[in-house]
Formats: sequence, structure tokens, C-alpha cells
Amino acid sequence: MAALSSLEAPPWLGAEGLTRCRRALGGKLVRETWKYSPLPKVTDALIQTDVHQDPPVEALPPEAALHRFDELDAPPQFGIDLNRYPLAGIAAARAGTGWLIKVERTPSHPLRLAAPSLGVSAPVLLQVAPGCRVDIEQEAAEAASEGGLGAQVLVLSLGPDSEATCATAELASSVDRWSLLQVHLQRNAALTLNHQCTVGNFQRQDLNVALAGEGARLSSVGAALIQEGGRLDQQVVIEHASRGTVSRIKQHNLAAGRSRCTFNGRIHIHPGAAGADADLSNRNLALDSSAEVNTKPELEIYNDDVRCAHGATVGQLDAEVLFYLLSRGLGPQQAQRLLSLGFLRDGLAGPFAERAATAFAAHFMSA
Amino acid sequence: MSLLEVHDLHASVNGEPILRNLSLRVETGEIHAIMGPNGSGKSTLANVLAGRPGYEVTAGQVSFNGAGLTGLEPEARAQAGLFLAFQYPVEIPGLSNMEFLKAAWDSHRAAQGAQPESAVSFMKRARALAKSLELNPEFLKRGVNEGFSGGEKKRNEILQLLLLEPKLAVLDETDSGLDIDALQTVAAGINRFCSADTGVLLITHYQRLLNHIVPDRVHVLSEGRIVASGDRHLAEKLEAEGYAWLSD
Amino acid sequence: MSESPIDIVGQEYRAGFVTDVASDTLPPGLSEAVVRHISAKKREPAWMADWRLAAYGKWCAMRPPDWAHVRFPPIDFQAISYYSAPKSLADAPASLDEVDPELLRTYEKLGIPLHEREALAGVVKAPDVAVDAVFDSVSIATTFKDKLADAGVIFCPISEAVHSHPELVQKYLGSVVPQQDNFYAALNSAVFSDGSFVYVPKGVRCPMELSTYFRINERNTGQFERTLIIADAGAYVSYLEGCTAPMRDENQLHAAVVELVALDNAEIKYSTVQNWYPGDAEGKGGIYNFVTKRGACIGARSKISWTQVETGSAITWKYPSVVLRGADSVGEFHSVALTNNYQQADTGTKMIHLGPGTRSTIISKGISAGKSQNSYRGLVRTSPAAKGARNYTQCDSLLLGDACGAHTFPYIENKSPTATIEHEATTSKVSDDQLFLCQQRGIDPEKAISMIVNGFCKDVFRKLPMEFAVEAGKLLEVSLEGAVG
Repeated sequence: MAALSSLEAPPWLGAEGLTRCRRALGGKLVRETWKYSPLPKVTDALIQTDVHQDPPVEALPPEAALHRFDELDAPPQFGIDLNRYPLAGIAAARAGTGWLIKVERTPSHPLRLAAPSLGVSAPVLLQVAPGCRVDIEQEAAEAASEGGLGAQVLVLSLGPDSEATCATAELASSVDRWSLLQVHLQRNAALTLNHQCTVGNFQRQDLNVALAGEGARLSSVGAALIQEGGRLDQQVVIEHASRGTVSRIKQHNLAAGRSRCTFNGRIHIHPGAAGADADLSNRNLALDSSAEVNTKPELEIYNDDVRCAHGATVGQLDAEVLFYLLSRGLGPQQAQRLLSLGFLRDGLAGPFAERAATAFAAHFMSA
Repeated sequence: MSLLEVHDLHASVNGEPILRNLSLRVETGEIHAIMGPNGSGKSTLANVLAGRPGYEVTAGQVSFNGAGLTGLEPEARAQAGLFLAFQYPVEIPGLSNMEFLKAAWDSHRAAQGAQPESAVSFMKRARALAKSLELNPEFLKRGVNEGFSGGEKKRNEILQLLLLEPKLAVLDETDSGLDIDALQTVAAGINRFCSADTGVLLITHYQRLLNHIVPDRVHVLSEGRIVASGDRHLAEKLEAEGYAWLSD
Repeated sequence: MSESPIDIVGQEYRAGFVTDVASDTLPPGLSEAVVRHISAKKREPAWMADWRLAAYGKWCAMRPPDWAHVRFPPIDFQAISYYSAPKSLADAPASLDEVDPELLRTYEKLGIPLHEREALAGVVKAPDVAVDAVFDSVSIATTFKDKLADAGVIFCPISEAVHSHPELVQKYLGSVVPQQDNFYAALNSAVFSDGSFVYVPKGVRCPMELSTYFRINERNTGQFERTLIIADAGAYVSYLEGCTAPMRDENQLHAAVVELVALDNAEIKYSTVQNWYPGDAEGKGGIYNFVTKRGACIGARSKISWTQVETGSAITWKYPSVVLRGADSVGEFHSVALTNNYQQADTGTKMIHLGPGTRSTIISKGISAGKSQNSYRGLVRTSPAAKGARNYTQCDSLLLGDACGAHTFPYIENKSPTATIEHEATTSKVSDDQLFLCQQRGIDPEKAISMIVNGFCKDVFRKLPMEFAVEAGKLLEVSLEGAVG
């Protein structure tokens, strides 16, 4: 059995980088102390689970190029803060390599990334050239087995004036998952994120977006259905580091059955990010008497010329809305089902929206 | 047998008595207007009839089509043919209008032991109705009342009224917040609903809707009871003289 | 916006002067012997001494909290003196006439409203505010005892209550804030100097607002007030606390504990205007205000509301909280926190919903200016038993200038699926357009900012008792004077 201490760092991570990860995992992490799943569990699984060596793209469009890190003359910079995301370093060390996808021209078709349900995937760094537009799609396959861990690190680097959409769907989750999506946007780059998932086991989703260049924009819409026994940890950090940056986050989570759902969304406005405009909304619905919902939307602001707002709600179905449906002749159970679905659908967008809606509906029909 | 018969009705909202000894009878084919100053209990009456939670009947009887209403669930009243057009229609993002309408209609059909109408035929009907109410059919795909203007929400209420084919329409301040064009559209929709088999209870603060819908009876509600009843000329008198003369 | 006309310049601290009263002060340092000495000095019964020693034992094993969004050099707790009493009072004055005239002049300089000064001086035409003044560590004057006694209300220094009402003190002291609750609460429990004790009996509506002025005076003397307020079934009491402090260079530690207990149908309103010395424009000096304030709604339908206006202190670490245990009990927190220059505030509340039908409201207004850091930190927690619990939180920040920080850290932990929790936060600035409009209408920018800030805080000011509301408005204006270049 592999151990944390016996891991070897590939050259592009560096022994020093791996040491930092080990230290971060060993030390006390202030950000980890509130309601989050303990890291050792994921760390152990990361070290023990299998590694995927397959290329991360299902079909590479001619406008893009794919390289293995260890084949490059000079390995690219990941740009991941290993103190904050030490698991990324461990995953990288486990994988031994990583993949660089360079999008030099706007592809005519969406770029479909592989999403193995089980095992550690080698980290993917996707660079979008200035002015290009790319649609990224990633749909997790149904797990062949129950249990185990799927781990994935994706780093998006968007050049000036580029545009990307990134849609992910994990709708048949029966394994534990950990994923990190880190995005770096340069001047006037724009990213649209759509993420929808059902959570049957444990899922931890880290999202870190740096709006580094002036006028960079992020729009993220997501919905999660946490099923019986499911446990979802979402940690979102949005950094507004430049002038005129804009972020919009909407996350709808529904806790059905005995489950636990934690959302932490931090908006960080750096000094100098004048004209920043941020809005984050996290709504949660608890349907089961033993569901637990935790949410912590945070604002950290170091500039006065900003427009920031966040909102979080935890609740059950609105009595007024329920009555509206009943007064139209719908039975209480059907009304509840429709409203729950409506709540989730309000967090759906992008290419997988329909599929997610169907998956969610199936849940409520069988429940 | 009357369509709606309210007898000595007393009702409270959150423990506070609002309706006191209210009696009213609506026959099929009739349009009744309920007028009165703010706080007189008009909306309470509408909500009591529809069975809104928190609105408690403390005494008296209400029968609809010969059967007692008190104690019935809101959905059972709706399925029996009692329709409430909301003063403030709620927004339900994520639940599409079409899906909502179809589910409501299916529930009405099921209550009568009928099979659901085919989706195609229902959608056709809904689209046609939307068009007649000057609503862009695209709105059927959007969330229920989501981002609708005040006028659109009210027209959506009328659309549901026409689609669900109830026997009695209780219209709670349906004219409030409408511009003159929307008012005419809404009034046309209500007139279209009126027939020898249906009844209308039209709750309004102003007389202006009654320029478009001619009531058979006008009742004035004050402090939870009907203090005056008359024909449509009563509404004109109220318009000219206000409500003050009633308390003299 | 670099061209913004807003440029916060610290306003000289009005209350900055030192009263010259000879003090009886312990040498710096904390040990079991010091705790025993404090207890002996107060001629406390054995149970009180034991309680302090138990707290001291717990404190020794604890570490200062490090999670707040504030930065300061480590405090040397052995360099602090834990007891100080004005000498002229060491023999305890028999009546108000014996109150040191210097103290009365101090209140005058602080601008304490005239009628309250009269109250302190014992003037016959007594206003309806009772003041239990704390000068450093010993209560010096208590007024209106008769009127309160007629109503059956006990309002006295807690050191006195230990002797006169030991059964109440023993029952409730530490019942809301346990000794080991946090590092500073443990410290306070071991060494608390004095504070107010209030007991309002069953069904009694306290006939007047109760008021205490705190003042920190002695150099390098930590101030460890302990306040305990109990409203028995059906009782009502409104308690006002206000503070100022003299100017000095050394940072001063203040670690008070306030405990409120509301039984069935009881209501406690606790209002604070805090104007301690915030340090100078360079961030030198100023009070460290590490306070634990908590109320327990034990009884059904009881209500506790905290209202605070925080403009002072170099560092504020303060979370007036409510534990909602009784069915249908209500907790409220209304706060204005203004930071300027190098001030740091990490303040907010905790609403712990344990009982069914419990409700809480949180309104927080943070204003950051200069190079200050202003954080809201709030916890809303519902237990599975808190059926139908409701919380509404609104958290607004106003930034003046681009060198300050405004932060919001709400923690929502829900285990009650029938609970409804809503949190909203916004951040805004005083816009150049708003300022220009005011100027164009003939209002100078300084006045305009003050008006805008006051408008921003109006929801909270409304919750203050009248005399405090006026004072709070004035305080903000003073704190923002010279804010426009």
C-alpha cells in the first residue's frame, strides 16, 4: 500500500511542492475546520486508488494540441496554490504526469473531456489562446462499481478576450469524488460554468476562480441533488484581482434523505479591483427531517468602489407557493415534487440541463 | 341549489376575527361584485373560500354546488370547480408555466375520473388562449410568473381561469395594477368565462373594472359584513361618493 | 475611485484625558494567589473564591482564540494588573455626597447628559434613568435604589449581590457563559472586578431604563466587568451601557462578560454605545475589547434583544448572542460598527435555535473608513428540535475610502428541516454622485457623509432607547468629522 511519505514528485511539481502539500495536510488548516469533510479520508483514498494514464480528451479537435507534461521541454506552470489545495499536489504526484491542452483557434465543436468515475486522473491544464472561444463538456460516466474515489484536477487558463463555457454533469454518482477546478482569466476573458450533480456518496468540489485581468467575467450556475446518505462539500473562492471584474454565482442545493450539504462561497475583492461587481446566491432546500444544511457565504473586501452582494437561504417549500399550486387542484405530494424539481431546475443551464432535469425528475418519481 | 351559499360566516386570520356574520348567495349565471374599503375583509373572504391555511372559519356555513366547503383541502375545492385568481400571483422559478398548467388540468380531470388530455392538444389550447390574452406563447416555457410584469401575472391568472374551466371564479383585486389596455384584455377574458353555468365573485376596490363587466349584484363589505347590496348603480354611487356615507 | 473627495481624517478623541485619582492597584501578574487576593479584597464567601479558582484552573489550560480577522501582537497576560480600586473609595462611600467630586467632573467632561449627571449627583428631581457607574473596578454610585426597591427590582454591583443575593448569583452566574466558554470568559471568571447585577421579579416591568457608564482609567489595568441580568417570568427590563476611556499609549485589555437570563414571557433589551479610545491616527494605543455577551431565552415566549453602536476600541472581538431554548422565544441583534484609522472590529452575533418556533433577526451595519478592517461574523444554528425556527439576517457594509476592508462571515448551520433561514449582505460606498447632489443642494460634504451614514444606520438607531439614539447619531457624526478633504 502506498503512503504519503513514499510519493515521488514529478519534476514539474518539484520535491519542494510536494513537501508543501505534505506539510499543509499535516498541519492545521484553518479553512478546513468548519463543517468540511476531513482531508485525511480523501488523502488516503487518493494515495490508494488507481491512476488513469489515458488521454483526457475523447476526441481532440484539430484546433487544439495535446501534450504530456513529461514530453515537454519546459513543464508549464500549474498555478495552483498548494497550501490551499494540497490534494492537488498529491493527485499530481500520484498521476506522475499531467496533460496540457492548447486551444490555439476556436474549435467548431465542443471539447469533450474524459471523466472517469473512478481513480486518479492526471491533472489537465487547458490553455485558451487570446480571442478564442471554446466550449468544454465533461460528463462523468456511470461508475462500474460502488465505492472508491474519483479525483480530478482541471486548470483553465483563459487568455485575453477569450471565452469559454465549461459544463459538467455527474448524474450517476455512486462513488466518492473530489475535484478541483481552478480558473485564471486574463483581460476581458469570460467564463460560463454550469455544474449539475446528484450526490449519493461523498463529493467534495473545490472551485477557485481568479479574475486576474481587467474586465474578466464569471457566470456560474449549479444545482445539486443530495440523495440518501449523500454528503456534499462545495468550496468556492472567487478572487476579484483587477478593475471592472464581474462574478455571478448561483448554486441551488437540495438535501433529500439523510444527507449533509455544505456550501462555502467566498468572494475576495483585492485592493485595486475598483469597479468590481460580485453577486453570489446559495439557496438550499431540506426535504428530510434528518438532512443537514450548512452554508457560509463570505465577503472579503479591500476596496470601496465595489458592488457586492450575497445571499443564502435554507428552508423548505414556501407555504404561499404551495397554496398557489393546491388552489389549482394539485395534490400536496405532487405540488411538493414539482416545486422541488422547479427549485433544482432554477439552477440548471447549459448543454446538460435537460439531462440533469430528467435525472432529478427520476429521483422524485422513485422517491 | 345555489352555486355558492355563504351563511352567517365568521372567520379569523391568525386568531384575529375579520369576517363577522357574512351571508351571500351566488347563482349560476350571476356576476357579483364585492366592494369595500381597504381592510374590510374582501380578500379574507376570497381566501376563506379557497381554503388558504391560516384562514379559519369560526362559525357559519359555506356550501358550493350543494356540498359543504369547510374542512376541504384547497386542492379539493379547486377540483370541485372553485377558482381563485390571486391578488398577488406567486413566482415559481424553475417550474415552467406549461408544466404547471398541465399538472393542474390533469388533476381536475382525474378528479372527474377522466384520462389526462394529450399534451399536444392541451398545448394547442394553452397557446391559443395565451394568444387571445395577448400573452406571448413563449411565456408558457418560462417559470410560473417568473419575471412577469404585474399585467402579465394577472393575465396568466385569467388564462388559468379559462383553461381549468371552473364553475365559480373568485377574482381577488384582479384589476389592481393594470393599465387600461390590460384591464380591457382581462375584462374580456372574464366576460368570456361568464355563462349560464358559471358564476363570478368579483372583488374590487374600484368601480373601473365594472365599466367592462356588468355585475348583477353589488355588495359593500365593511368591517367583515355586508352592509349594503344593490344593482350596478350602487357601484356608481360608491365611485361618486366614496364609502363614507355608509357609516353615517 | 482615487478622485473621491472622501479622505478620512481621525477626529481627536474628545474623551481623552486622565482623571487624577489615587489608586489601590495590585502589581502586574496573574496567579492563584492573585485570584485569592482579589476575592479576599472583596471579602467574598468561600463559594465565590472557589468558583474563581476553578475558572483560573481552566484558563491556565486555554489559549487565546486566533480565528478572528484581527491582528495584534501577543498579549503578555503576566504584565497586566488584575485589580485596581480608586483609593478614595476603598473605604466605600456611605452616600453619594461622598463621591469623589473629580469623578463627577469626569462625567461632565465626557458629555454625559445633564439629567444623568444629576442622577449621579443625587439631585432630588430625579430623572428616570438609574446609573450604576463603574469607575475602573469598583462601583461608585448607585441611584434610584428606593424606586427600584419599591418595584422589587434588584439593581446593585455584582460584588454586593454576592453577599445580598447569593442564591441568585450562585444559580445564574456562569449559567449562560460557562467559565470554559472561551479564553477571555475564563479569564474574566477568575478575576472579574465588578459590574452590575439586575434581578426583575415575576411580572414586574422595570419602572425605568437601567444605565451603567463604564470607564477605563488605570494605566495597564485590565478591566473585567461582570454583568448578570435576570428577568423572571413576565418581567421586562431595558438596560443601557455606554463607555468612554481616556487617551493613553499602551493598549488596554478589556474582557467583560455579560449574561442575560429571560424566563417565561420575559423580555430584556440590552443597548450599548461603545466609544472607547480607538488608538490615534497612526494606530497607536487604544483599547482591546474582547467581550463575551450572551443571553439565554430559557422561558417560553421570552425575548432578548441586543442593540449596539460600536465606534471605539482598537480591536473589538464581540458577539452578543442569544440561546433560544424556550419555545417561541425571540432573539434580536441590531448593530452599527464603525471603524476608522487602524481600528479592527470582528463583531457579530450567534443565534442558537434550540426550541420550537424560535425566531431571530440580525441587522448589522458596518462602516469602514481609513485603514480599518471591519468584519461581521455571525452564526445561525438550528437544532433538530427547533421546529419551524426562523432567522432573517441582513448585513450591510459601507466603505469610505479605498484603504479599508469590509468583510462578512456568516455561518449557517441547519439541522432543522422545517427551519427557514435567510441571509442577505450588500456592500456599498458613498458615491460621488450622492455627494455631488448634496453639495449642489448646498450641503457641505462632511455633513452629507454624516447624513448618508446616519441614514444607513437608521434601522438600528430606531431600536435604541431615545436618549441613546440621539447620542449614537452624535457619536457617528463626531467619528466622521473631518472625513472629507
